[in-house]
Amino acid sequence: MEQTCASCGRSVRFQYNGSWAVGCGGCAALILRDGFPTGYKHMPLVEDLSPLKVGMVGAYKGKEFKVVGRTRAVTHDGYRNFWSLKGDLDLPWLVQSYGQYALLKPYPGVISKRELRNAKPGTSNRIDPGATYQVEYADKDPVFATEGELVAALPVPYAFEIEMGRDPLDKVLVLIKPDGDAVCLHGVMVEYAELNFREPLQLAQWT
Amino acid sequence: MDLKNALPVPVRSKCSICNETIEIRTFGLCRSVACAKCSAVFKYDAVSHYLTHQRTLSGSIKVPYLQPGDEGTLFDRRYLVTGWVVKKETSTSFHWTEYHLFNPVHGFAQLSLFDGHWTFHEAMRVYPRPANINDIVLFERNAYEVFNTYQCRVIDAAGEFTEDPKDQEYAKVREFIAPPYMLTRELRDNELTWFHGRYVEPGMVKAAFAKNTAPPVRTGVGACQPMRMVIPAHVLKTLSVWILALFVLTQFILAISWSPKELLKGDLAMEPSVPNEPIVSNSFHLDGWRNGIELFLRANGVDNSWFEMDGMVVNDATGASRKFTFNLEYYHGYEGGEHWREGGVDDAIVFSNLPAGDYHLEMYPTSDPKRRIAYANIRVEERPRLWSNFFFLLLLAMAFPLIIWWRHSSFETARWGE
Repeated sequence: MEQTCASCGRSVRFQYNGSWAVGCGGCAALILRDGFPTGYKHMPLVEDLSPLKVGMVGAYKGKEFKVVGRTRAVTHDGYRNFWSLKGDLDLPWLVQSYGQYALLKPYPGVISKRELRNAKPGTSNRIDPGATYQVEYADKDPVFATEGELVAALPVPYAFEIEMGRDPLDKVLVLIKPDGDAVCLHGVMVEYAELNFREPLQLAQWT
Repeated sequence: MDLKNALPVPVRSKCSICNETIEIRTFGLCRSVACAKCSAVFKYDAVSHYLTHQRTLSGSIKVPYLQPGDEGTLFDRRYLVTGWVVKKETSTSFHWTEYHLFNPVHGFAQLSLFDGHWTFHEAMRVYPRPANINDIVLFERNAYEVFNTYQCRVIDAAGEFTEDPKDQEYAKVREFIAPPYMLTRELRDNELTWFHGRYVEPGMVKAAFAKNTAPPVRTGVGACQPMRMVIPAHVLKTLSVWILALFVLTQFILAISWSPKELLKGDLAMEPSVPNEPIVSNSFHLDGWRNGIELFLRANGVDNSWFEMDGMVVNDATGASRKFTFNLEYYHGYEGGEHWREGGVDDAIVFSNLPAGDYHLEMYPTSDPKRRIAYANIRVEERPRLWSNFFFLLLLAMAFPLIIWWRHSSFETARWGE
């Protein structure tokens, strides 16, 4: 399937059936199957020295996956790479930021908006149905850059993000849309070495 | 990009204030750069590589040991030095340097330097748990005590940063220590981060970054500096208990397995046959090179009276003598509905270091005029149980743990006094 980038007019192609979006190879804009998302700011993709690359193949706990795309969300205070995974793993996102890695998937529970309103770093937050997480990070107004293909949906553009953690390695990422709806990704923190990429030699001196 | 051998060639730009070359090695991760020459801080645009001047720091400290661009391997990880900041505690004059280290796989780490003491800090994935006592936190089987709580401001910087160095001024920092480790809780408006730190010997930093010059000289004791040749408290405690137990057991075994050899025993008349002449005992023989004896006196006739005996242990051959004095007093009665007693009718004196030979006793008794003592029992035993020796040796053995404890205590006093 082909689409035209509404930003730069370049033609983009979906490789995988059912994938949610694709990044424009020209301007790094995110293009949904049915067009361009509204209220969305994008920027060119810049080198961020990430050890992950589109096309890399890895395995987590014996389940193989392929990195097929990413959206890089950049805010005033930081960045976050949402790497889209395709394969046997039921965790569609590998979220990477400053040497931290988490495998995440949509959280099926209900998120209390009242709880989120008071969430700020250093406080505890209860996520329905009852798990208590420590709020670690909060940021707003990201700008996005996308490459490759995104298999699962991401609430782009989102206006706020709240990162929470809980022992031992639970991680929750709440992405709040401008209209107030929140989408929650939930999963586990992992080490880069646990992802067993097939091209580790590329990083031989840095791992 | 191939990270196999080196990071990509840095982006080069010029400081608009002093025209110094500024290199940016972290590309899209970089938000701010500070000129190493004039301390001007710029906002960096990773797309256009444009630098926008923000402010100029006071730039008072210009003696960094590591420079942006240096590479080294610490704790088996290769790092690139991307910059350094000098921070000052807002409420004191303490200031220190934080070197920012970057590894593309593991992210950023910091190497802090204070008074010549280095600490390596990494962001934690798992946070410590509060112990609910005295603000102690627990992490990986260690209990960390609160060491310091402060806010600080940046007074100098050079290199590239993932944020504006000034933003760090709003952090509320709390440090916990369990040497050689340290945990640092840093809370800002939008972020809570815990860092796990460990003490690094200065020589290790020098070797890691292949520096030719010596690192700054250490003064005082570092916040998480471990004591050299330290014996852990639990080992010291166990060692002390074992030493004590060994000595007590040895003494106990000796006490039950050894029976004293009686050299002399008898009831002697306490009235000299010739006035003013001593009462002289039979001789007894000592075999050893250096001998110990214990002299016992028992005078059952002492009853609400006293009895004194001056005397000497005299070598038959040489006439060499060792003096002794017994003072026996025994009083008892019934007063106010209660029985009372004071003193006793027997006593013992130990002599040590007596050379081999034949000895006898010469005694000059004096009785209470109200109650004359006619006979007293004298007994001499060889190799008595010398409890004084036991306690002396025990003290000597315990000196080691005591010295270690004192050394540890002095070290900790210096650490917390900083």
